[in-house]
Amino acid sequence: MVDLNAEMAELWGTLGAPTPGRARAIQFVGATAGEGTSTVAREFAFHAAARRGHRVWLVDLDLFGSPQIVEFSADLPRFGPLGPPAAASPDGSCFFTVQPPLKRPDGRSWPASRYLFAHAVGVTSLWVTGFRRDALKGRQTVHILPTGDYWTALRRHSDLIVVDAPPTDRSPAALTVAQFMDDTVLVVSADQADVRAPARLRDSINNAGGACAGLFFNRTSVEPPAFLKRMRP
Amino acid sequence: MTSQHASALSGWASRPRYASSDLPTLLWRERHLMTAVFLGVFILGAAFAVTLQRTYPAHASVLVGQGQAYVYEPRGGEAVPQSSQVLSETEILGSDGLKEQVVVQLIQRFGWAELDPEHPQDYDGVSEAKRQALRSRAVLGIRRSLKVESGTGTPVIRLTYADTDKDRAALVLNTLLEQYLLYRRTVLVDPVGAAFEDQRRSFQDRLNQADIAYQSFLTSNNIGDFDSEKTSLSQLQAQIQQQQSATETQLKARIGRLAGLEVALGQLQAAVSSGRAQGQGASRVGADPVFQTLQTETLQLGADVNALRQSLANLNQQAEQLTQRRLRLAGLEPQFQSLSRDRDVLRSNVRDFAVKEQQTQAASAIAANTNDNIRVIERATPAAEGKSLRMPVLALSLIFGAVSALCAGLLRMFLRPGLPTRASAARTLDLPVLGSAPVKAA
Repeated sequence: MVDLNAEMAELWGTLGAPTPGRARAIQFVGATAGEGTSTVAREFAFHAAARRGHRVWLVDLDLFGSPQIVEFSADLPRFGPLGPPAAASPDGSCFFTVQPPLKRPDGRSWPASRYLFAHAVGVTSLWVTGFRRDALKGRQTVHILPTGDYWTALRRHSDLIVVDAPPTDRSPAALTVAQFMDDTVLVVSADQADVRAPARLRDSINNAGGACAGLFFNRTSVEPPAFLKRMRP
Repeated sequence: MTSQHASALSGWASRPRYASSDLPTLLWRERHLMTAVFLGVFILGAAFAVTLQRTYPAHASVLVGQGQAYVYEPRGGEAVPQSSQVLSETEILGSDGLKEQVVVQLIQRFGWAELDPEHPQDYDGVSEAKRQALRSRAVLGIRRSLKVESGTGTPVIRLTYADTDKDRAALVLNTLLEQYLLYRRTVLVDPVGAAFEDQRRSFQDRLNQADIAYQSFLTSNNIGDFDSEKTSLSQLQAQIQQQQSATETQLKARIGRLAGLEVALGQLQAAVSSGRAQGQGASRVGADPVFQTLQTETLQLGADVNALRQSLANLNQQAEQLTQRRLRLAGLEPQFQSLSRDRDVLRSNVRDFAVKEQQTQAASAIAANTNDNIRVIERATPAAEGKSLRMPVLALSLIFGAVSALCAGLLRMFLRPGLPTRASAARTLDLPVLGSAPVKAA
């Protein structure tokens, strides 16, 4: 597990703190798998909560893997123990739908939000969401919804919403929710061989109504030598 | 949407875009490769520089002026321009033929040891083919060490010969100058003399054949001199005609007189027979002197007439023979005229080309015996200071090594996949970099 606290401080500084009274939603997405998007999103959310003291929700759009909870659980000394699972939707709205829905004994459908849960992380004000994959029955499938109800509801209970989107070469979830985000940050790895993929993702997000705030340049291996750093202003 | 963004929409960059500020950082990343390339090239260059010996350049120069070979020799148009003369002389100075002469001369004078002190015995006791190979190698060595330069618009040719031995450098260059003055004569002079001589010989051969045909013609036709024969026959025929005419006249006169005498003699005989010749008062007894006189004269005239007739017959025969002879000459005259004309034309050509040949030989002799247009301004003397290429080669190795290293670094830099720096990422994706994180071990 890597500690990106110093790097997140820089990112926090460039993105700016959320305006008091209005929660800010920031989505992190990469063009391909393996660019470190989940790590950056997690570290940013943890930094905002632990270092900046904000109420932060880390929403994991990778419903079938819920890797964020796994990662938090894997480094308890750093993040602290996860709290008991709790409902992740303030008002029952949800950003996805499960089809076909399961029926209650009274004939009504189970809401999609029943599949979504959250854990408090350590002693911080950070909540991380997960998906009850084991609750899916039969041939049920999950679809991300292009509606903003959940995000609007969640903003009322947080200062910052950090969305960890799966890479767009695997899922279009990031493009679907981009329009409801205040900013989308592209995570680009320095060893990304195909430089056209992040450019295509940038354009796709803009075309989907999202706003690309910029990119987080991950895994840089080239650093100016010390003497060059001293020479530069 | 910015214009850059618009252009990015139409076509995404397939390669990272670098900022100038990236170059030092990116090249620093390739420092190990660059160092290896630099050291490899520099060490090779330095090793080569160590093998270089100090050389002593000897200098000489010649001045090229207007010479016989360029002014007197041309047979048409104008004299050769001086710039062309300088180029010609430069070519002669740089020719391998001249260098071969120099090598031969040096071997004759000083032996092979002067040319190759490290292997002085190589030239002795080997086959001619091996010697030729050694001479060729020596020529190659001179070619490498000799520099012939001529400036534009100047008639001066500068020569430089470099050798590890300063005395040998001067010796080789001075020998080259000497041999050049000799060698250029064989190159420049008598360009057409041989042609004139060949042509003259050709005409002479044809003239000889024509003479033989002419003599054969005269001999076979029994003619000493055609024109004299023709003239003498003409004169002889005129003489015979005159003699014929005179003989005929004499013959006629004799015949007439003989006829008169025969009439008178007849009348006298008749008178004697009839007695009318005797007077009434006297009679004559004995030979009649008148009769005898007439008879004697008649006999003499008869003899003359016979002689004249014989003479006239002879003259007529001679005249006939002369006429036949002249007719034969007239028949032979076209062939004689043709043979004579051929001889005259060939004789004239032989004379013309002999004159030209003589003139050419004279001109060549003049040009061959003088080098009036070549002045040796400076002969070679042993150089006081030597020159070593070690430092320049070392410097070049340094520069070449640095450039090679830079090229290798740039090549490796541009061939690396991915986005190397924040600036290149921002430039390539046209987005601001909000933050960055290095590679960290988990």
